[in-house]
Amino acid sequence: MSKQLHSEAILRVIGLNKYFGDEHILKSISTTISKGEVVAIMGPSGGGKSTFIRCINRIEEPTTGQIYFGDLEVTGSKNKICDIRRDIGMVFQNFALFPHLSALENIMLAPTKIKKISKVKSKINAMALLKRVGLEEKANNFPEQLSGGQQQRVAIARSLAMDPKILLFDEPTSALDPEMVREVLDVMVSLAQEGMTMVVVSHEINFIKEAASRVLVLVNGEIIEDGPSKQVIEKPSHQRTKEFLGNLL
Amino acid sequence: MVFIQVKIIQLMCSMIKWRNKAITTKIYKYLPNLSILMTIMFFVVYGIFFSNADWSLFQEQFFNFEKMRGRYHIFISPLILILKISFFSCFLAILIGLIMAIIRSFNNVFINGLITAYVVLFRSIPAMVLVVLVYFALPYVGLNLVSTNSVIASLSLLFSAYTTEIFRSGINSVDRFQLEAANALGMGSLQSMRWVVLPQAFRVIIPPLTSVLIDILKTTSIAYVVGVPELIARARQMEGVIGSVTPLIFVSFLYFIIILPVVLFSSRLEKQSRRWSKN
Amino acid sequence: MMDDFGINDIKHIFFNMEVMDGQWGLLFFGLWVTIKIAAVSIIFSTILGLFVAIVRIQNSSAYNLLLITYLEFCRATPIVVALIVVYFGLPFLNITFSPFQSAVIVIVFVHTAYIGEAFRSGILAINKSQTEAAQSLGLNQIQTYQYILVPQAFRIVLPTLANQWTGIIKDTSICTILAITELLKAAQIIAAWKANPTPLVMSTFMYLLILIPLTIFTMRLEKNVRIKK
Repeated sequence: MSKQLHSEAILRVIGLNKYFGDEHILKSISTTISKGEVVAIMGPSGGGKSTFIRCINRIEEPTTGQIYFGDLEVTGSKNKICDIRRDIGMVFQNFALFPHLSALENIMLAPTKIKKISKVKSKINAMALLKRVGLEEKANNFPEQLSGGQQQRVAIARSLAMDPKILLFDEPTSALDPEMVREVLDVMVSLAQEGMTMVVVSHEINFIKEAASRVLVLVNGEIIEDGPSKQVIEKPSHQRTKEFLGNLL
Repeated sequence: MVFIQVKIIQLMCSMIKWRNKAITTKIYKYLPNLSILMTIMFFVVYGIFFSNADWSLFQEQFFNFEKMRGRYHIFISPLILILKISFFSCFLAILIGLIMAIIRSFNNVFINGLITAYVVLFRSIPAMVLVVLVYFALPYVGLNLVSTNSVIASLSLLFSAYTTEIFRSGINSVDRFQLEAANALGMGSLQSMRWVVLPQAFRVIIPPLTSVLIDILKTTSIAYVVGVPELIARARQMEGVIGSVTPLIFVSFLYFIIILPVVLFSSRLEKQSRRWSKN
Repeated sequence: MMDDFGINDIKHIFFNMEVMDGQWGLLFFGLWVTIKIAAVSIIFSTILGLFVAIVRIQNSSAYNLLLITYLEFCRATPIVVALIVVYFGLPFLNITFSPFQSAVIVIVFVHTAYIGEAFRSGILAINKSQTEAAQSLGLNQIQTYQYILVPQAFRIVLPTLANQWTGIIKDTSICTILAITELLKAAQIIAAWKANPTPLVMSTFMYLLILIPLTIFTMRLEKNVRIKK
């Protein structure tokens, strides 16, 4: 059983520590994420959620510890990190679309420049992705002409364009107006149903109930709760989790 | 060069098999610094001891202070002259700029159009062209300016275009309600300008004004073309007499000494004002 | 004395087209030389300035110290002095540059410092999340600069850049102290020969014809930036 789990593991984090100066943000975190899992990370602000998810593709440099993506070590030589990042998609809180490129160009950039896919081919692919997030008619609009929810959907399409094996979401809906949250969550739910492996930092309890298979609760840089989403939300074992969920509901 | 050094140190690290990541990252952090210092030292040592460049010639032509001995006093009067030119140009430029900015703040469309045209004209015209034009062309209409005065006139015209803009943005930076409050206290528009707006605008105005001062100090060197007996002219005369470029080097050094304090002061002010605008 | 001048006298002195007869060729040759100096200097100093900015942003303290010294040196050295040292001084060391080369070398050297500083602040003004987004897509550092940071920096920096370019075109007129027949020198030659300032006035018009549109363009860009803020 454990052997089978191991072979399916797509992401292994072993003893991850992160310091900002003297501040100990992540305290030797270890966890394994298997293929097809949708993992939600919850916890109070300042608990290290964002830092953790940013360490996974090494946008934040971990202080010590190892992260393995499949067989490849993310924390290894810096030369290979770009190749690894191509298979790890990431969606940011503030969208981070490139303002000088149109929605279509945002999506086409990485495939054409890194994978050297022909423009025609990647354009067809990008249009398909835009259709999937319901924005095909906005293809030639620039980010500043799009609403927050639309920008975030383009950002998701942009990270999907590289055919990632795993998608990281860093609070994808927290910078959005309430009425736009749903359109982004719908896209994420449909992705989850298609079997995409996802790690999501989010407090959207409905999304977690609907789509997440597993919940991690991160408090003060430690994982205090780790289990199936239903169990964690309905019968949390830790006092701190209860308080936190109580505040949320 | 640097690349090879980095490779060598990387190799050394891997040979010693440093497992402690903290130390390794620290070394990597300082690696570029180390290597550039090594590179510079290499070139200096190589240049002095091993290359066949003629350094005695360099020293003789460029830093021959032996021949300069007893001639330094020649530079005193031109130095005072360029400081005088800078002072008067700066003073006039600020005066004209201030007056124009105040007139502009009255929002008369026609006059503002004229002022904008003035600003565009003098921001566009090269300093050298204006100096030459004023000095060589005006005498034909009987307006004979002494070369020094023609330089002062051109510089103050040129830089008043910049000071106008600076003062205007300074005045605009002050909240409109301040003016209304002053008016409510019974101040006239000139009074409120003097006592309420300008003191507040000062903070925004000072940093760009110092860079105008730097530009004026540098531009005085143009006076050389119209025969003002200033530093460069004297240096070039002396260069002919003693057959060495040392006077020119000395003059650039003098300029450097005059301007550098203002430069440092202005970069500090800019940092300060950036901090202000952040708050 | 001034009162004696009628409009015809002014026309005769400053706008005397008879003086210009057969002299336009030299004046336009001067214009061509000026444009050549300006174009070469603008291209080189913009490219080099970009490199200086990128090196500065890497935050390696030794390079930074070197480049800051260079910047302060350029800010404190008048171009006239630098030109004279390069053109009249270096031959004493048997290093000889043509007037055109010295002009380009000095202008590029000085303006690279300013343009570099402008680019640096432009790149720093870009939100950090742009770099992170580019990295997370798998772009390496060079690609991040090439496709994400530099195109955005250009937009931010354009007003400053346009201002520097205007400065470069203006500074070409300082090269009149060298033995090179650029626009101002050509005008001076004709004016001295014909004993009439018309060529000077004409050359001024030529400078203004190039520079006024640039200045208006710059001022408009600056205004846009102010409004956006």
